[in-house]
Amino acid sequence: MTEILDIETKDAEGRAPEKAGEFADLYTWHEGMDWNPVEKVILERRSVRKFKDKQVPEKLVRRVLEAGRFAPSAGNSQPWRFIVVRDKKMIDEMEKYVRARCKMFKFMLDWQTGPLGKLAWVYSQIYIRLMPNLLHPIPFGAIRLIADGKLKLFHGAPTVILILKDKRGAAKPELDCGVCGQNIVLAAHSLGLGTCWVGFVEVLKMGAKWRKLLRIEWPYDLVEGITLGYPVGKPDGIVSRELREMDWWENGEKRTVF
Amino acid sequence: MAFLTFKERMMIPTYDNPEHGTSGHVVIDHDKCSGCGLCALICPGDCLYVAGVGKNKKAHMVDDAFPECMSCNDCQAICKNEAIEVSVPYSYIGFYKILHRAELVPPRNF
Repeated sequence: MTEILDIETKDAEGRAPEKAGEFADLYTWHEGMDWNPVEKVILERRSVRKFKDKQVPEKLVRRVLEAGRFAPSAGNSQPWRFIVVRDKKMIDEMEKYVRARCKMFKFMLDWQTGPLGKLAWVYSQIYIRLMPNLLHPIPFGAIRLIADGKLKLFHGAPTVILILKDKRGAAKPELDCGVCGQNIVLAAHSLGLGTCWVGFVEVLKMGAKWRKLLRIEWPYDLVEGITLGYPVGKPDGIVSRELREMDWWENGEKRTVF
Repeated sequence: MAFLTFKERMMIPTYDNPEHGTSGHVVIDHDKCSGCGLCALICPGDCLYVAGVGKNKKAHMVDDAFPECMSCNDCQAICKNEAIEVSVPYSYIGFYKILHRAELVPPRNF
């Protein structure tokens, strides 16, 4: 069904730099003003799922990681550790390992196409109920896509940042890792890079080889991965999102606000 | 693992009934689409494909019961010709029903 695409992945144009004068000023607000640079980066950030082969300069990765280092955390415990992987062979191996594992999950859980049939249906119903977040319909479908090779784990990114949490961190170390990662992502986009959160790297924890190599051992635990690279095309842009209902308490009464 | 009661765990849909959920849906304006295929290349759910030859080469959305469209809008953002628009965000019933949600709106500068 999907035919091979003839896209020039090498010299597709990236983002053009934008002049500071084109935005609203920072640290001030008046009603209905244009986006300031920070808001613009936040609103235009889209996950990038196709990268150019060109490697990101080392200094740029270092600069992006500085944004992560200065993220807020509970009790200033900074419960994170970064692993930067820029080795193409190692990235390919990680991808291969996760894909092999996803093939195993698919074999176990996919009752529609797998050989286990009804038995897989029973397994999947049990596991979905035990892990309702990890096996939410979207990642459940993603397991199938990764196993079939239709969804690439790192999307050809030349640099991958792995975020490990320190289990001893104050209050909610996992949340702090998320805050830190979002700092990294926004800084990267503002510097002309593209990023994508990759939660499936957590599968690497299942391999003794990877636990040893990446030193995923006490007190650290692998949480998330972020791909980093120059995007193909111009993936960033403002889109529509659903409004969310919120309660608004003011002057002793509640309003519903969207 | 989150703490869930037995009742909550039983509310989880079985994924095998198309009525248990609708995936996201995108509308492609074939007058504007140039068939470059960037959207199909970056779609995380493998929901878009390019078919046709020459002038008729256009992007299409798969019409399976459960395409994996998560209405991420990446296809809309990457399209040079503004030919794609996400019209329906995904939704499920029971446990995964998304609450307190309203229509799709671009960012508002208050």
